Amino acid sequence: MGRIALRNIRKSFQAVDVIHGIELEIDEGELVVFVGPSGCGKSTLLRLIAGLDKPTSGRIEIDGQDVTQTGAADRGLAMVFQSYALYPHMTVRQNLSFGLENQRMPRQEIATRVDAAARMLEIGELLERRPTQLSGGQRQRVAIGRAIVRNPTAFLLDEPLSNLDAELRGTMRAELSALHARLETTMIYVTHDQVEAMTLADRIVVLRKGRIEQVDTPLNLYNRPQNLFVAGFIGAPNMNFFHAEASDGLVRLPGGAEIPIAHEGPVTLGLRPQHLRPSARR
Amino acid sequence: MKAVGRFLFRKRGHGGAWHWTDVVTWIWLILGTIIMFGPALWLVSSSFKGPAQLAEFPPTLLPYVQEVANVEGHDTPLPLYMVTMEDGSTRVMAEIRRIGTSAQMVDPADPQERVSVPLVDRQPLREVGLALNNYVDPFLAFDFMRYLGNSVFVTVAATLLTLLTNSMAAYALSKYRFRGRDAVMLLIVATLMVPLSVILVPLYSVVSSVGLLNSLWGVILPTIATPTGVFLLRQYMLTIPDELIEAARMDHASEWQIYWRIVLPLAAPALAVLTIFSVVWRWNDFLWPLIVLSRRELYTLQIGLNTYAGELNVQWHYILAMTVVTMIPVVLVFIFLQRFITTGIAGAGIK
Repeated sequence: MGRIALRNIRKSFQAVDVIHGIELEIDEGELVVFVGPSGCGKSTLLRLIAGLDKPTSGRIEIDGQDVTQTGAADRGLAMVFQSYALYPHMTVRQNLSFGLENQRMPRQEIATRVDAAARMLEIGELLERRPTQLSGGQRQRVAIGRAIVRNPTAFLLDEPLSNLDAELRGTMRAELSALHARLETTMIYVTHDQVEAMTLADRIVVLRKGRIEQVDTPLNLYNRPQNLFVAGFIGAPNMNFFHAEASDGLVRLPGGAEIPIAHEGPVTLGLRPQHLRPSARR
Repeated sequence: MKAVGRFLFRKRGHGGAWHWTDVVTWIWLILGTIIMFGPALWLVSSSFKGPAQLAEFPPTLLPYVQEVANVEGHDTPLPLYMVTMEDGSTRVMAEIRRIGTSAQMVDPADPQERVSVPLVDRQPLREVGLALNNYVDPFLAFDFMRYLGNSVFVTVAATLLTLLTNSMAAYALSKYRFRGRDAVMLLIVATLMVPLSVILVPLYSVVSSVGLLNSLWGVILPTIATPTGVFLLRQYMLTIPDELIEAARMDHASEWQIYWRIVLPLAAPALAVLTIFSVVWRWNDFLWPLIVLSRRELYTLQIGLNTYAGELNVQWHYILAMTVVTMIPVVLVFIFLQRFITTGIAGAGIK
C-alpha cells in the first residue's frame, strides 16, 4: 500500500505552464524528497498528488488505481501543511479527531487512535489546549498527529520544518526520520533545504522549472550528478566549474594535472571544494 | 487616579501652558460630546416630563412635577400654585377649577374661603420629579407587550436568517473560484446604491402577490439579503487562510461541514458586527413594516409608537417614554457584542 505513480503530469495556470510532463514512480514505504529552488513547482506537484489541484493533463495512480479525478478526501492521503493549518477554534483533541468524525468512525475508535497518536508524539498533556497556546514545535507535532490518526496510505509534507528555529528543526528532522522508520508508510516530503533532503530521503527528486532534473539516492546525486544543475545545486559549498579542453581522452589542467575523460572537445569540469588539498609544491 | 488626571489634562504647550491645539482639541471634544450625547440625554430627561411641561417655553433641562395637596372637600389632590395677591403678598394656594382667564383657588389650610385669581398672577409650584405615568400608562393601556413580542420576533428571525444567508453567499464569493464571481460580487455591492424607497412599490406588489401582506414574515423575508452583510463577511472571510479549508477538505469534511464547522466559527467577529447591524436595522425599521402591516395586533413597536402621533394630537410624552424603552435592547446588544468586534482569532492557527 502506498505506491504512487505520476504519468506525464502537466499543469498550467491560465497561460503559464508550471509543470511540464513529470514521470515518477514512488515505491511503497519510500521517503521521497522533492527538492529544488523556489518556484520550481515542487509544492504544486505535491498539491496535485494530494488532489487539492487537478492536473491539466496526465494521470496520477495510487496502488495502480487511477485517482486523477478523485477528490482530495478520497485518495487516502494525509497532508501536513507548511503553516500547519490547525483549526484555531478547536482543541488539539478536536483537531485530531475532526477528520475521523467526518468519516463517521465510532467514538471508541476515535479515542483510541487519538490517544495512540498523542502517545507516539508525546503531546498527551496538550490535548485540551488550543493551537494558540502551543509553541511552534508543539504545533508541528499536532499537525503530524492529525495526519497520523487518519492512518493514510501516504503522508505528504509541504516544507513542514520551515517555520521552526534551527535547533528544533534538527530534532524534528530526526523524529520524522524515526517516525518513518516506525510507520513504514510512504512519505513525500517537499523542501528547499538540501540538508533536510540529503539526511531524510531514500530518494531525492531534483526539480527545476517544472521538470525533473534527476531522481536518485542522496549519495548518487552527490557523487554522480547527471547535469550541471544537479551538480551545482547539491552540496555546500557549491561545486566549482571550469571550462577546459579535452583531447586524446585527457583534460590537461594548467598546473599539469591530467584527468582521463571519455569526451573530446570543450568540457566543463566540476570540482568539489573539499576534494582540493593544499600542496607544498609551488 | 493621579495618573489618569495627568493623562487627561496634559497639554502640548511647554510647562503646562496652553498651546492653541489644546484649546481646539478641548472645544472640539466638548462640542462633539454635546452633539453626540446631548440628544440622547435630552430624550431621556424629556421622557420623564408631563405633557404640559413638554409644551412649555422656554424648555427646562430637568423634569419637574407639579406639587399637589389634599384639600378637605375634594376627592382628588389639587395642584398647588404660588399666588401673588392684590396687596403684593404671596400665598400658596390650590386650584379648584379654571374659569376663562382666572382660576378659582383655595388655601389648603382654610378650605372654605374661595378666591378668584387671574392666571397671570400665579406661578405653579414644582419640584424635580419623574412623570412615571409616561412609562406606566403605555404598559397598561397601549398593547406594549404584544408590540414588543412582534418586534423581538421580527428582529431575531430576520437577524438569524440574515446571518445564515449572507454568510453562505460570502463563503461562496470568497472561497470558491467560478466564472462570473467578481461580476456577481459587483452586482451585489451595486445594489447598495438602490434605496428602499425606489423599490418600495414593486416590492409591495411582490409581497402582496405572495400573500405575505399582514404577516410578520412579509416584514422579515424581504430584508434578509443585505449587500452590506455579504460584503462585510466576504471581506473578512478572505482573510481566513485557504490552507485551513484545504486541510478540512483532506480531513473528509463536506463542503457544508467546512462552512459550518470551520468558516463560520472563524468568521465570528464579522458575524458579531453584522448581528449588531442587523438587530439595529430590523429593530428600528419603520417604513417597510408600516406598509406591510395594517392589522393592529401585528404592529411592531416602531409602528405601534406611531399610533401616538395622531393627525391633530401628538402624545409626545408617551412617544418619548416608549422611545427610551425601545432604545434599551439596541444598547444592550451593543454592550454584549462589541467585545467580539475587536477580537479576531482566524490567524491564530497559522504560525
